Amino acid sequence: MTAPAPDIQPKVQTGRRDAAPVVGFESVSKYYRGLAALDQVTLSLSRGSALGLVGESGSGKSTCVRLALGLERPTSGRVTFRGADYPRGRRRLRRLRSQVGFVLQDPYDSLDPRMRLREIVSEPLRAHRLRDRDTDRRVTEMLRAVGLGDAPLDSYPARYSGGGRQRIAIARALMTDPAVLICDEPTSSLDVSVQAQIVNLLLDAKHSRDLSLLFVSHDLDLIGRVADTLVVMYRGRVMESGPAGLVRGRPRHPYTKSLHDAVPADHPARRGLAGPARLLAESGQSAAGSASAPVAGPVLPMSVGAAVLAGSTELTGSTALTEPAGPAGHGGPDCCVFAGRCPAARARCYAERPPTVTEADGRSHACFFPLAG
Amino acid sequence: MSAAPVMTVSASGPGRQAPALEADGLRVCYSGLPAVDGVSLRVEPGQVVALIGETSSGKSSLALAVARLLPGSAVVTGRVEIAGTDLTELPAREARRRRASLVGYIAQDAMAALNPVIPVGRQVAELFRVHRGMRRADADARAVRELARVRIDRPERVARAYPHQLSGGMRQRVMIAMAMALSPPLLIADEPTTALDVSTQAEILALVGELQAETGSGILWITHDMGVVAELADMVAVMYAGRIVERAPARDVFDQPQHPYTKGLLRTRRDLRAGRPGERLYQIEGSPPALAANRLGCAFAPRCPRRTEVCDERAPELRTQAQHLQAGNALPDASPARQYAAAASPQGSAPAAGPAPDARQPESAEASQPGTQWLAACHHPEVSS
Repeated sequence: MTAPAPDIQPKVQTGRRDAAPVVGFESVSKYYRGLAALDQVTLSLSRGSALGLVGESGSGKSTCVRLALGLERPTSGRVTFRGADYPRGRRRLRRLRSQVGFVLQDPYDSLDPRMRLREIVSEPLRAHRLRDRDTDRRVTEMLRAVGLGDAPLDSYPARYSGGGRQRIAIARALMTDPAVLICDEPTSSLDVSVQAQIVNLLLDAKHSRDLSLLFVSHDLDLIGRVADTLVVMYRGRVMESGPAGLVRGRPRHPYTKSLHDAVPADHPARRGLAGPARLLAESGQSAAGSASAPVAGPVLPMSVGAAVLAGSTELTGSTALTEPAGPAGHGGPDCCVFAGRCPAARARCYAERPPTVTEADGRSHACFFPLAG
Repeated sequence: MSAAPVMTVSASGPGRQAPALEADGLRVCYSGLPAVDGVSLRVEPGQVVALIGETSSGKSSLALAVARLLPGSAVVTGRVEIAGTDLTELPAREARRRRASLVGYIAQDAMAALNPVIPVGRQVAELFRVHRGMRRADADARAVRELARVRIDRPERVARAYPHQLSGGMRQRVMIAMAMALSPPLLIADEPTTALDVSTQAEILALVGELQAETGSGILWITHDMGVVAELADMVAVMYAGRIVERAPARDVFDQPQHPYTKGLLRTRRDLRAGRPGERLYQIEGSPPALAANRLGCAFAPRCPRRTEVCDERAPELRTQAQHLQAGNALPDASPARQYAAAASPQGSAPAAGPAPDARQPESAEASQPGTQWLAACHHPEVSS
């Protein structure tokens, strides 16, 4: 907390600042009413790169986003911006936020329907007291950059489709020339034929503006295209992280593999090879098959079915968050949180928390019995 | 799961059942604007037909019109039969009485579809009390069995839970149990997995495949996800701006999409998987059109890489593609487009040789194997190589 306030001038970089991650999480935990939404999460977004957070609902992705935006503070651990803690003072926090742009999931919710385009896109300038005589020109330029060059400045968002609105949201996010753009499922509420346009726009902005991206998605295919580094989260913990190609192509953690296998086929001829049909066949729940209990032996390559079916047919409630065993700061239960769904789980997985192991190829995973990869 | 539906598709002998769904020239208008614009569609028993569409394609209006669930302000014309019964011709009370036995509806948002203040078991039981005249205790017991049928663990416990106490996947299972409770011949699933995590989606897809093999219902599965289509569908119907632009067996569509829109959707997905991190994605330009009255040409033309003048002048009809493929094989790849371009003057008078520009003309009479034909509505369909 004694660290100096972060430098808000992106163009003047000192060597030390360059080396520090733009956004860094150091063993960050976040508790809500005593329950861990994040449990000792460490991640690092380096300058000009794209970090992908992938996981299911309840994995802690959105909590990471709130912490990275400085909207909340961690219960323990450090969240840093260019190597320094997020400032406590309101004014300094606001200055920092001008360096952090964000694009949210639902462009229908995130744009005020009563505001005109001019006001929406220039709002960050107003909020950060950066407005000047040139604001209209800058708004027009920015709209052109996101492919809305002919959009009237006095139009309302209702006039635009989902894709158009997301372009407006991106224009707004880029208005203060931020160093980081945080994208929380930016395409999941858009039409499929429009999603690629928005992803390309984000990739272009990343390259042309030297932006760092924090990209959150549950779509493993999509995030594997956008991110250089992938972080796979499950129930508030990091299961696996590393270079996107490796994590996506040769997962070490059974949870990553299960996510991978749940992705539907790309052709009817290959249906059921990885995902849905195999799930039932292997889970023993098939009506045609026997009623035998799912096999939980050390089967490699793993069978996902038992895991997936066993885990997610539970009632939700407080169990959606990990229940801490000890005092705050000591994390959740002393076991692997995925053990209950993992077909490769053994006694040790229920008794100890697997430590994070970093390997030579830059990957790290938290599993006692990793896959061959 | 994958073998059974194929057999039912080819079962077109003399003793054929009535189709689970038969829609003919179906139109749905809101304030005079057509959301569904002359759709003909058939779902055979045991078949999964995937209806692919985006915003304002009319897919949800179509589904609601089939189940006669649209508000009075919507004007529905055309014929819709579910297992030989036309719900739209029945008096409202009679339609309401028979709907649950004819068509099961699985909505995208199960939380909104379920009653939040009634335990889910009661909601399933209600179907049996109302439609089967069961007593409460019997219906409750039956509801527990129905929950077990959708592979819910400890169904007695879940039956007593309120919707908010269940996970998204569990709520969707309850929805499926309700939709299938009365063993309707037709099941309509309106993007039931869109809001779910991938692993939960995989469970739901597997479950539906299994249940269908048991019951032999026809399923109309609405989605925009080609992956879901690949996992489940026997037939594919692609909808764009209120019309079906391509309809074909699923494998054929994935192998050789004829309509540029279908091709674009498939390429988007393939490219997403195949490319390297940081590489730009293949993108379809533009966005789906809003509702419009009296659209002259092909609705996809503004976004289409194969667009020529004829595309702006008249809407293409849904035609059998077998002939196209044969004709196309004899021609160099781009020549149909060039012919059209040469025939039409720059100011856009219609080519003289073309058929009358009647946009509402339905597709030609179907051949001996209904529901398995390959149809596309495009002036310049893809030419097979």
